[in-house]
Amino acid sequence: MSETDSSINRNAPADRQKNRSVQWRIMARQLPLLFVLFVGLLFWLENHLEDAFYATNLESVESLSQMVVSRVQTSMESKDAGRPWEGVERLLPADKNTRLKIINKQGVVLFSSEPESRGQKHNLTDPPCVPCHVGGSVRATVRSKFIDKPLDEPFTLFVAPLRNTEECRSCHTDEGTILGMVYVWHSLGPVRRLVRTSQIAVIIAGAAALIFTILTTRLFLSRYLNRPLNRLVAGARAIGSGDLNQKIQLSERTELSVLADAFNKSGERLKESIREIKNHRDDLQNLYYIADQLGRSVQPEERRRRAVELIRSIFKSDCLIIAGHFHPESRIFHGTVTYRENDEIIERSISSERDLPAVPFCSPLIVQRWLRGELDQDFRIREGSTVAFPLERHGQRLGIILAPARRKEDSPDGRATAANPEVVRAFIKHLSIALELSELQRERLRQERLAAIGEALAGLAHCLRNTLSGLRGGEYIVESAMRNEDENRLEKGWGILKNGVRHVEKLTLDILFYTSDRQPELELINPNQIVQQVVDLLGGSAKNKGVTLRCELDDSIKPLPIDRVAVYQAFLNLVGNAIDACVESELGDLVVIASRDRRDDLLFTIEDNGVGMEEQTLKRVFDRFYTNKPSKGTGLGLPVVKKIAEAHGGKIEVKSTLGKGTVFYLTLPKNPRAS
Amino acid sequence: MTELQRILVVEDQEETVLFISQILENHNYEYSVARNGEEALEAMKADPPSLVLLDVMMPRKSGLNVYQQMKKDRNLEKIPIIIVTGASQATGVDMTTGVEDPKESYGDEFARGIGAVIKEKLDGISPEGFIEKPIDPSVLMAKVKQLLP
Repeated sequence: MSETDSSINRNAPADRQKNRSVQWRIMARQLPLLFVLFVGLLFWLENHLEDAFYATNLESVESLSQMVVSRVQTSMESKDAGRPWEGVERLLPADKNTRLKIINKQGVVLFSSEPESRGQKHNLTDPPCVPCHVGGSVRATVRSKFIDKPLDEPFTLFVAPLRNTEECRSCHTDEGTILGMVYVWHSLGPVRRLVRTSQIAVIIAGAAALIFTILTTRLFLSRYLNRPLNRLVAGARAIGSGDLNQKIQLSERTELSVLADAFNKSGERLKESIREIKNHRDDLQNLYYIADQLGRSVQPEERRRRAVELIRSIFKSDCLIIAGHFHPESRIFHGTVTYRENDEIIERSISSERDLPAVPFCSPLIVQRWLRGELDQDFRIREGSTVAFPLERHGQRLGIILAPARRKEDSPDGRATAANPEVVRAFIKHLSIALELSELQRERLRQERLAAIGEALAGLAHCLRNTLSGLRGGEYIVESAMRNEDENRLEKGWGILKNGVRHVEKLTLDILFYTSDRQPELELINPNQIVQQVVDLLGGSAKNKGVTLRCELDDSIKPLPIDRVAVYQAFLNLVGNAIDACVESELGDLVVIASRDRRDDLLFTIEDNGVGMEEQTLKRVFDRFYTNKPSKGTGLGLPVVKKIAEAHGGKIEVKSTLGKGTVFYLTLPKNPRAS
Repeated sequence: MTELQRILVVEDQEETVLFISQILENHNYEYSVARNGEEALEAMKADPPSLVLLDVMMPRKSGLNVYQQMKKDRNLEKIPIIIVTGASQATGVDMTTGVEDPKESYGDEFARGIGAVIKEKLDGISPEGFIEKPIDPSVLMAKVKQLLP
């Protein structure tokens, strides 16, 4: 966890920067909006506040003027005619903001709140009068009130006419005319100051509200967006970098926490998936291992042993494997049972359930049913504390595996795949194929052996027939010679008979030599010595046939472990053949036997200048019972040589030219074991 | 009756030569011996025999070669021939009928090859023109008498 935290911290500045940009972006869009709203509000206030204030003032001033007019009218009616404006000043407010003038028809100021202007003529060019009395005449409609803002000191002015009403006619005769004007002037300066003050207060309050809004937005963004986002990002990064134990914890339940939950869940799922993939990988590795192990050996016993080991190492289970074959007609079973006991793999032959070992999970009942072919061909059969897996291919029963039944929870590593059915199935299939192959191989070997026996017998018959042909001829000649009392012929016939007998003798010896399975009896001996013995033996008879034997032996050759009898036989055959080859040809007269010490082996060459061989014959010289000397050869001489050479880890090769001669190369390694 | 008739024995194996010559002597036939194909052709050209007993497997020139050359030669073409062979057993092909008997055959590819060659090269030869080894004296004499009236 500490590692994860540090990784989060390491990534944090960058995250914060990024998220701040999100925050700032929100605020950058929000601020101008708020500002425009604020300015708009100010404008609205500017216009409407002032107007509202003015309107209030206007009403009070208007009502004042109405009061003045009605007071003056009332005074005039009550015959207080001398000075009807007397007491009007009492109606005025105490402040100096309101001025009152009463002007008669002649424009003389009868009353003024400013005493100095009383009795004077009202000046129509005074600013308030100018708009209406341009050039001394009234052009605009008479307005009872107006507000003139452009002046430095704004004011409101009410000009109300004093009309000659019904009641006034007692004194004023000119009917329906205006007798005078009431002139109320009210300064709006204080109102404007009040408005300005209010506006400043509104600006300050607005700015404060703006700042407050910004700060709280910032705070809430950070609280509800930034921090959770940072956690999300850190968590996502941690999951991305492989730390699947990372959990994103958000305190607030928001959409982000839903996202975090989704993240956590996907992390869990990922973890689960990875675990599954790992399991699959393990399974695959196991399968490769199984295939490799079962395919490694071709020996059926070895395969069964390996299978027992594999079940132990991969499925962590003991087992017992019965394998074998049913005789096709009698349906009698012959096979083996392989199992482990005291850390040792034991294999015994078995033909019925009575031969089963006393192993706890070995259920004779299942085996009995299987032997009778009563098991439905299910991949897994459970019977009490035993689970059985029949092995079969193409409907042929090859064997059965018995193992202790166990539940998934009992597997040592808690893994379901400890006995993953797919892997078990694959294993069963592999083992079935391996056993089938073994079975086929056994059958093939049997067939090959039969074929080899047949071929060998046919070859032997062929060879014997040649000998028989000679013997028959000999017999006929002897009989004829005896009848004719021809001594010369008798001798010849007798010679043929003797040759035939020798031939059979030689054949018998060769067969014995060829078929004996004896291991070479090695003794330390110099092969040159053996060559010399052979040359000594054959030299005399060769000379009688006009053939010279010459030895060119390498004196540096040291004794080496060889089978004296076998090697003697090999040289005897090779040199004998060479002499025969010379005798057959008219020009052949020399056989050279040479030896040479090479680095790792010894090379012996037996070279003759005899008849040589055709290519076709050359190809077959090492075949059993092949001979181009039907009356003399057994067809086993060279195969015997080959067998001896190979038993010593060496080899025999031949080169020949028809009519010119033949060379045999016999190689014997100095260290047979190393080769 | 047969004194004037002379048989040429073409055979390389001494034992077989002795055997055949003993048979012929016992039946009072004149004969001469050639040890290989070349020698045989020379002898035939020098003095055409009444019958040739021809071994197949011989060094220098095989019996089959000799047979083919004789068939090409006007002077020798009419001379009756008895082929002496051990091939039937080896090939499983009955030379007298040309039928392959699987029971007799021992599946030897090489011998089969020879058998096929013999059959092809001797195409058209009459059944009496064969004798198999080991030679049965009475069979040999029956065939000789058939060919030498």
